[in-house]
Amino acid sequence: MQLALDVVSAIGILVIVVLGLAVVLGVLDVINLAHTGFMAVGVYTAVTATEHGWSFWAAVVAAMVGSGMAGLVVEALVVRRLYARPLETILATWGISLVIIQALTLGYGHNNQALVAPLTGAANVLGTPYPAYRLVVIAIAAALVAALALLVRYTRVGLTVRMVQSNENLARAVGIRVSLIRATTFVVGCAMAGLGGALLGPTQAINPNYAVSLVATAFLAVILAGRRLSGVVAACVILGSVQILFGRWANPVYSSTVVIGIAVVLMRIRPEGLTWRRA
Amino acid sequence: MATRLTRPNLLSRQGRWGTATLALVLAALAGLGQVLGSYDTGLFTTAFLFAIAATSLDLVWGFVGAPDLGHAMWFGIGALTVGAMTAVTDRTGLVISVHDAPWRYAVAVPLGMAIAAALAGLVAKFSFSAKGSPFYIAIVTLALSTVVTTLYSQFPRITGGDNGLFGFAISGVPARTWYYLTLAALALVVTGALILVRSDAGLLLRAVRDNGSRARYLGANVERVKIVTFMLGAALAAFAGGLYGLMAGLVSADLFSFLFATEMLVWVSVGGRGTIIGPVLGAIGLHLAGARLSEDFPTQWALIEGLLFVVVVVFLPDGVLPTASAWLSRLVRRATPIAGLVTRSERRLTAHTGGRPDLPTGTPVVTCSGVHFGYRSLLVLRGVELRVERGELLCIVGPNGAGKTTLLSVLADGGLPITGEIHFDLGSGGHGRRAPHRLARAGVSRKFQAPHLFGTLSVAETLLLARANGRLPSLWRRSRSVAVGPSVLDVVEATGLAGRDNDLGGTLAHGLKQGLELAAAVASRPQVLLLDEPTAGLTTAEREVIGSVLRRLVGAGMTVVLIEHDLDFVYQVADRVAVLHEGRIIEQGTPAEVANSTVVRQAYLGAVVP
Repeated sequence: MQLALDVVSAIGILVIVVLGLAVVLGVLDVINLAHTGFMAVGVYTAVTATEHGWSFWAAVVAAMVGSGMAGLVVEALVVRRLYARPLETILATWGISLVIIQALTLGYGHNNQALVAPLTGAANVLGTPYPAYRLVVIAIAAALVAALALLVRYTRVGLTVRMVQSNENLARAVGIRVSLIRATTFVVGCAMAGLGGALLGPTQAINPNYAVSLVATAFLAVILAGRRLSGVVAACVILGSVQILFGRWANPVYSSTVVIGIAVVLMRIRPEGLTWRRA
Repeated sequence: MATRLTRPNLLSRQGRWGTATLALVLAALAGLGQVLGSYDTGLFTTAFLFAIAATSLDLVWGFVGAPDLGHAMWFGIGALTVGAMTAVTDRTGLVISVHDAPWRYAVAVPLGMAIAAALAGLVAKFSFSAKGSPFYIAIVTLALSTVVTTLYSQFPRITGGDNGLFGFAISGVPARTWYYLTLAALALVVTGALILVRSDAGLLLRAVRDNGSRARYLGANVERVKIVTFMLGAALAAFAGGLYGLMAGLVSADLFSFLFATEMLVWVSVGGRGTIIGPVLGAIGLHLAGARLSEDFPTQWALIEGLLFVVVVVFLPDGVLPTASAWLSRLVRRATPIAGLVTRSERRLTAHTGGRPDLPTGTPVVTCSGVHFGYRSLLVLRGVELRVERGELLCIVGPNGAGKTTLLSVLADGGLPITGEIHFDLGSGGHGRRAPHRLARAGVSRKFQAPHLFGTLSVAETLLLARANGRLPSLWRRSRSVAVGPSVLDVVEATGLAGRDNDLGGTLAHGLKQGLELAAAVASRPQVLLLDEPTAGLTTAEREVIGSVLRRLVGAGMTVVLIEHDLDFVYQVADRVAVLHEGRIIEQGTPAEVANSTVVRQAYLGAVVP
């Protein structure tokens, strides 16, 4: 039971990290290597907010706003100019990530910061005690996936976004402001990064290199996922469970290696991702 | 028959200026070695080694277009091989003594290069596949560099673990000697790389980068070109890493890291991707500036470097050096932009007078029986039966969506999964279905519907590659003239390409691109020419010219299969017409027979069979 909860928790964390990345890749065809940078912006915003006496949940909202605003600036200055050059976006966003790391180092120094979880107790899940905060994170991950699925499938916003995704010229021709949709999508992706950053804050050491170790796994998960939400969930389930299960019976250091290996091989077998966009 | 040379003698002047500049820079650096203090000497020495790494990355990323995000790994392997061969560690990875027998150092560098090349070969073999995404190599190398840095600490006996290995430098070599040794190594690598990319084989690299799938249909083994270049890049980086190991005597996970790989990407993209010289200057300049500035402002420098990288990627996608030299050439009219200086050259088409192989006529060249093919659930070809006789011009007509282009695709690309049989009899023996480049080499050439070309290759260069048809062009020679057969010159003259030998494929107008496509298909001296709408977008007058060129090719013994919508054109040129409808050949015969067929009218007009 403990193991099952660990697996679900790892999947939940991965989903939260990957979702914003997947939104940006799916709609904009941009692989945002600065995603972890925006997570760091989020977590530092949250740290600053709690230091000023804000409650944790208010700080999480502040984190979303902070990284969303950072995303807005980055979109307007950099990403907007690169939509036609997908490879360059990888390089530019990696550059932005370096800039964010250095800027945070200048502002906050190298030292670790801490963010205290709002729930410290353990909850009873079918007889197994489990940290309550982790359960909340799992619930949030599930809620995010559900909300996004409903948004994409059933609302006018979702329809517009899908239109831009499948044929931007035609979308433009029928009067959709493609640049606005793109900017909004990027900002939403960054805000989700901020949310993820703040939510994971209590579980990790917080320093300017925050979450950089996650970049390869998240990057792999999102490429593996393909263009659909179901793919994102599938990729996170596979990689999250492999990570935990492998770490359980072998050296945990190798588990990230195995995760990456499996992702790379899966990608070779299914170059379109676990789910593919209909032609 | 020979076409006009656009700007005479420019090449030789360009080449001489390039060589002279390079020699001047080297001489200046050699002189500098005499006056630098010991600290600066060390700085420059490291910069030269990094410049070798940057050159190797430029070959891989700039010339075959494979973004290697983990290029530091190869450098690290070179350094680690030297370390592991010489440093002796205890159980925890602490260096306790050093085997400093000279043979160990001598063996370690080439061994590191071989290990790096072998590993890179595996990675490349795995990553470069015809259907894979161009990003796949980026993902694999990024993932690999993460894995390698994680695993580094797990094998302390070999790698020194978290602290790395240290103190294994060759002893007794003065700093100034290292300066000249590394400068010589850099000069050697840069010269070699320049010769390679300026050679005829360099065209092959750029063709693969610009448009891999088109290169495939001209007989190039795209995957092999990429794999070999990737291995070469890795070996050169390991060479630099090995020298670094000999000189500095230290290696740690940092040398393998994604961060160091990013530095390399910065050098190359800031300096100017695809110019060899740009990345060298980028590496030296940024390393020197970084070392100076990071003493005083460690964090600020990293911030500046990051910003610089972003700014260059966004605003100067060609890099600083090419942009600057383009500005300069606008100011000073005689100067040539660096990108042109490095890769471009004047080439001239000349007539080639050679015999054409005589082939027996009257036997079928292509035979299709029961060919079925579909895209997932959509069945496009439903049992195509078709024979193409040698030396005939067969037109395939049919409504949109009938499967015409798909039929050409399954003919030319043996990788597509069909049921049924396709057989080629090309004189050299029978062939079943083959990968596109192998079929192209055997004598089946394809022209695509939309003109697909190599943006940075000139007309003459494109035809040079087409003529090579899969054979490796010279690795060092750059030919000034490209001999092509009279039928190619026919196409060139007829489509208005004459005198445009040195125009780049990417800058040609649509009609000229169509002409070049056709000329390239003919230049590979195929026995069977598969043409998908060669006259689309051309004027009536141009169509007539193309038609007469095709008739002449057929008269000379070539077999042509042509997809065409314009029935007037079909009636003019075709020996035989086959009508494809809903994935089957519903009628075939002479143009007159087909024109009077009721079946065909029903297919086109949608009438119900009574």
